[in-house]
Amino acid sequence: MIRGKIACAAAALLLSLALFAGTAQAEAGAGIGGAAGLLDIGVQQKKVNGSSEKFEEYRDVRNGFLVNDASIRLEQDASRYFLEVKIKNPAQENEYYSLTGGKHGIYKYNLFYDSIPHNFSDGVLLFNGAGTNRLSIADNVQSALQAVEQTRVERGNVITDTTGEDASAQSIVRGLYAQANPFTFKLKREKAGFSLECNVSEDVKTWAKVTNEKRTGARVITAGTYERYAQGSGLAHTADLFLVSGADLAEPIDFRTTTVSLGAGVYKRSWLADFEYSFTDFNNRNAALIWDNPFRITDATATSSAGASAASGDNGFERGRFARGQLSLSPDSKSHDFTASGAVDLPHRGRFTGTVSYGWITQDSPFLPYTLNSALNGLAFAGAPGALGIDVTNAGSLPKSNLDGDVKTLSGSFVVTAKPTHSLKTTLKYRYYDYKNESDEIRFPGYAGFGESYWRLIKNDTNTTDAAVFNEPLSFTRQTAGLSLDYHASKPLALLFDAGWEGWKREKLRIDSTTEYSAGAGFLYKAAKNASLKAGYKYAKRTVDGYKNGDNAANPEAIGLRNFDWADRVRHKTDARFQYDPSETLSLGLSGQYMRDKLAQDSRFGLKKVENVAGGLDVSYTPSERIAFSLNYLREYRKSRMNSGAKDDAFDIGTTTDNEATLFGNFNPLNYWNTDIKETTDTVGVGAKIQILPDKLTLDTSYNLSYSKADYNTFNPNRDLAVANGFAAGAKLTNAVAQSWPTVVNRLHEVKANLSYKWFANLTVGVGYLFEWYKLDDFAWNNMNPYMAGLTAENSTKFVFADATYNKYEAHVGQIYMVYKF
Amino acid sequence: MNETAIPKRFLRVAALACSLILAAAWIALAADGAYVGSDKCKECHEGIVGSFRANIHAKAAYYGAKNAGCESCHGPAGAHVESGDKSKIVNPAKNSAEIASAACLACHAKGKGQMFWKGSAHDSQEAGCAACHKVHGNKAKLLAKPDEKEVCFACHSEVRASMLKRSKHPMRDSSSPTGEGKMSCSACHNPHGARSEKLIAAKSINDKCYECHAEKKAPVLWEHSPVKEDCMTCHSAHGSSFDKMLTQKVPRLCQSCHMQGRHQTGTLSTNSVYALGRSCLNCHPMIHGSNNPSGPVLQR
Repeated sequence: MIRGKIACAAAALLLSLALFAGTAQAEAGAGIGGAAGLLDIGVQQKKVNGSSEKFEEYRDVRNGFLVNDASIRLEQDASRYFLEVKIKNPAQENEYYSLTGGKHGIYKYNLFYDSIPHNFSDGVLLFNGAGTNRLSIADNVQSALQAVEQTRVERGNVITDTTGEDASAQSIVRGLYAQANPFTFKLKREKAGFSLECNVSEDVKTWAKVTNEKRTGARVITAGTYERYAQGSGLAHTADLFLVSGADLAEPIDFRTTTVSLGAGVYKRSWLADFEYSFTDFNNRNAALIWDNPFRITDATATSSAGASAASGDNGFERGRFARGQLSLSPDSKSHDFTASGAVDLPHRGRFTGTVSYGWITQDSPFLPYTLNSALNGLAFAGAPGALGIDVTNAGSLPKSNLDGDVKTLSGSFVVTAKPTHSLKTTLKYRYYDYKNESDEIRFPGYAGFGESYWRLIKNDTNTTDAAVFNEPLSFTRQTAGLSLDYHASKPLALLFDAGWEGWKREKLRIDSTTEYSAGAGFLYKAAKNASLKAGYKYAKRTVDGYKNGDNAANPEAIGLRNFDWADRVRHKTDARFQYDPSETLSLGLSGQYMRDKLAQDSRFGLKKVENVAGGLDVSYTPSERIAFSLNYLREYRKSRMNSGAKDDAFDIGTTTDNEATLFGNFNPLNYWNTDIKETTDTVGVGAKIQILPDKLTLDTSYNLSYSKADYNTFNPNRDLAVANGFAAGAKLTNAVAQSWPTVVNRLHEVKANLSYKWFANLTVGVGYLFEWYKLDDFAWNNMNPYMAGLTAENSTKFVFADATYNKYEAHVGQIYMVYKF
Repeated sequence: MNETAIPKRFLRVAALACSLILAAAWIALAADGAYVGSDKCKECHEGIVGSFRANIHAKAAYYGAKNAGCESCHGPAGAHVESGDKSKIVNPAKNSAEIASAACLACHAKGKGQMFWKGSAHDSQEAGCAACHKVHGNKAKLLAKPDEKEVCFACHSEVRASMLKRSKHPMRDSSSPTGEGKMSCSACHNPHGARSEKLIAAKSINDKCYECHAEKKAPVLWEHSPVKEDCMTCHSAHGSSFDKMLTQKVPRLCQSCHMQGRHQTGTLSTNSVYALGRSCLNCHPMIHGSNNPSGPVLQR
């Protein structure tokens, strides 16, 4: 209601200003009044079926009277002073206001406010307090669910029990969902700022900028855990089954980001130099999110498989037995940057440009305690809190109270260009970026793991050496250099050559360095003024040094796995573009790209191959001044192959030489699986603009389509190997059985039509219509329900979701509007 | 002081004069005759000259370009006025990109925003000033099209396609009240050249991301290395067919780099909690790093 009144008031004010300015303009002649601007107002009605939050993901499409756009600029022809006000969507979630003014050549200031909504999805939350940092469940609910908790011993050899305690728990939870309130996960960014630029003299400038952004709302965040379960007494775990527990939560967002920058520079025609200091303060008003575990009212620990008190080395059964869980949210931080830049003209029509920055980022937010589960204090095995005599719920028990996070960055970018001859242009570039993390390295005696119900003494779980619990502040240095030559062989033909180098050095990571060399060539051929063809090819080879082999403390991942961003890579990349304008009325553009990466060909696992192909067409046709058509089409195709394998420790081939167990840890070749991923996206756009009555009545229509499909075809590559070793053709872990997924499909249709009538020279009225239809087919979202018990491969009785998803919508928006320009 | 030394003032004046001579040389080569003044141009080109009144170039004199007018860019129009012949006057838009841009840079090379222009991607691809700007226009930033994105999409069609995908930044369609256009290409890129790759106007790609996603900038206790090395390892900034602008669907994206436990190395059926919803993030929500002492596997 208040927003509506504000909108009306703003419209009235702007209309008054516009009429005043229009009157002045009429009296004094066009532009003489010194005021110019526009006012766009209208009435809008929408109808949305389906996921309206997806339709309004970043916008506020509302019904009723609206001021869409308004601006006014006050400036006399002979004056140096100017003032401009811009307003968009006042009193809406996506409102924008700007005030700019100044004196030409002397100073300029700007004051703005911008609001951006971000609607994620609707959902259902069992918790009270959504949007705050404390999510609660009624005690009686926790008590009731704890009373029907089914222990491992009680469960016996049946993981999916629908008649005992599981059924009771499910019944209670379903009852809760029946009463739960819907909740919309959404954010809002509100940013305000002020900037001032002053020209001290013709060549000397100074500037200052201050912005503050407030981000508020809630987004989904999930806290979960799992427990592996061997089905059947005495069986090898050929079929790993799992219990999962957890909850979708609403992470409260209440961020403030303040930035300040100050600078000054001298800008001459042949050289320039400037200096800037910038400061960023990030503040999160919520350090933690604390939530009640719906399934426990009292704290307890995990147990041994027999239900006894958990001992050192146990995997921990009965996980997730805390009464209150906690999540650390983004910590506060501060950063400073000093930047110096300069450029100077060089002989041979050359120029040197360089910029150097030095900065640091600090973060010293207090750590939360290990856990709120006080029962862990009773664990007494060696290294456990009971043995150490520490209180895990007290942050004072931590070896350090905060990270004392401190990162220093040093970066530089330098370019030298020259044109030594009329036909040759050279460019040499060098960039440097050093990220030095000087944060504390802290060793913890252990941590609360397995659903905050067990005390883990190791950071990961390998077959060799496990890492103790300490953080590793990563650092890296990245350098790139490139030389390009542009040689005009003849008037229509330019030849392009380039060579590049990129080097990374890393610390506290499972890789030491990577080095990449590249070389490329291309041409630009302008056959005529209205036709040009541009094409290029580049080859690049990246090599890796010091990749730490897996299955140990330094790299707990599988032996033979290479992360794709750290892998050896050979890249071929080519692109071409053809532009032809056979007449002033017709323009035709064709473009194509192809890229192929081969990654880590000498290792078994990870992303192995990526191919990207894209081809497009752009046509515009203007047969007369009254009619214009446009068409664009793009097809993108991406194909990739990733290789993986299901982990095993009991289902092995045995002693054959093909047994790679010793080479690849627990990854038996029989359990390998590969996935071929194919993603195709077609994008089509057509448009027509027709002046039905010349300069009076205009129809502007467009249609856009985006249609993408992603296929995930998974297969087991080693069938023949299994058979050769006496196994049945399908012998493998259940976890490794190839399961291709249904095609993931995205479809968006958008139709827009706008019929405008230019009533007077400065007054246009019109009607507009928008139709959007969106549909997502993604099993991971379409198969979701708030409560998945009985529907999942795992036993998910103790996992409560929010179903924070969207899948389809159909939206119609009609508008009647008036645009008054003055 | 060495009396034989050339005075610095003389050197500066000489350098400036040389620059001006170079910048104007192409004009002299393409057109000759006398300067006639903008009023003369208005006699035939009233619409264009009139539109200049609301154009920032009408105020060029306040920014150091004394006596700026039509002939500042078009060269002396005397011969053209006498003959009416179009070929007797320079039309920068129809010249080569380098020559056309030289006219603009005669004044705009002084700007901080253009300091990395020479040798930049657009410069080397011969996409000069006139490829994107219409000097006679009155659109914002004198762009050739009403909307900045439309200018960029003319060549970068794959980015236009990304705006229609499942997840993207708030950039789509700023031409109407029902649009999302809260960001433009220049929110991240400087088309006139930048210190970073891909014309990113920041120290690095990540530093550009942190400008809006400041909560991911700070060092934390337990890091996820791509968050500090390169956001593009997992995200596609222009848009994606997957949620959160991810380059690939989870869990396959995560599985391409992580193989440890049994639960994460399965092929995973369509009704597995490890594949449904937020997939791996159902249990590892702190994917951008955790500052919790009990968060070494990014669980809390």
